[in-house]
Amino acid sequence: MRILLSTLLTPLSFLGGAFIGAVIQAPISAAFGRRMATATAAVLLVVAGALMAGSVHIAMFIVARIISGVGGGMLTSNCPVYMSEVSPPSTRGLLTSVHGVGITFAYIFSSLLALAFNFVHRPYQWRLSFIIFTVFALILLISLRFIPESPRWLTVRPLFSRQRYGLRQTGKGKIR
Amino acid sequence: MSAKHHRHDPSEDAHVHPPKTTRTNIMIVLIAGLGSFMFGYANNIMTGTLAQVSFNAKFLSDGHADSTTGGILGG
Repeated sequence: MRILLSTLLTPLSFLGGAFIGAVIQAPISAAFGRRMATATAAVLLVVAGALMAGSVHIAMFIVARIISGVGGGMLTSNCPVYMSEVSPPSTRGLLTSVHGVGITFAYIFSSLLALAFNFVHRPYQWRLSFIIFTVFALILLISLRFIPESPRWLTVRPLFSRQRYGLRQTGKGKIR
Repeated sequence: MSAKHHRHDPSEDAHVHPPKTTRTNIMIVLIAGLGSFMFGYANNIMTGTLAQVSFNAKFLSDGHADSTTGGILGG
């Protein structure tokens, strides 16, 4: 029973959620834009981070981890797309590789953070990483306000967005 | 074309050199990179947490710690 539970839960957690997120981000990204898909993922990560930081039971923790997996799957399939669409052809390869660099940097960062919090001898010790995680997700959510929508998405959209794209080209419109 | 010919043609220049990097460009790269960063952070946050003493004492002190670890870690 234990082995069965383990076999079922192992793929169901983070990467299982990432599978769901990677699938559902495609219609969101096509209908509402790359920024909105990233914002959805950021909201999911904020919720999941807060739930994990305040977990009182292991079931609550695993459910929050699945939610964070959905958000992570959306991010990892959406961010390279956005990056390749906003970058000019001359530096497209370099800028898309920022995706891999960001993931690797996050691995190093979170491991170093875990090492640092290892010296905090309090019951809330393990929650601190998740609090930082929630803060970063909030920063991502707020910072989306300041980046332009992907020009490629705007051009394949129907009339309304194409007008906004034209406004942006003349430099007189406000792009959001 | 002779070597003495020094006339500067901006349209040729734009072909050879990539566009100038502005502050907005850097901001966009950083924010999109933050998105990738969040995926890596969400993926790897568990590795360090499973080693924390307080986490083990709270969640993994019962009999079936192995299956719970498999469930949380998830690959």
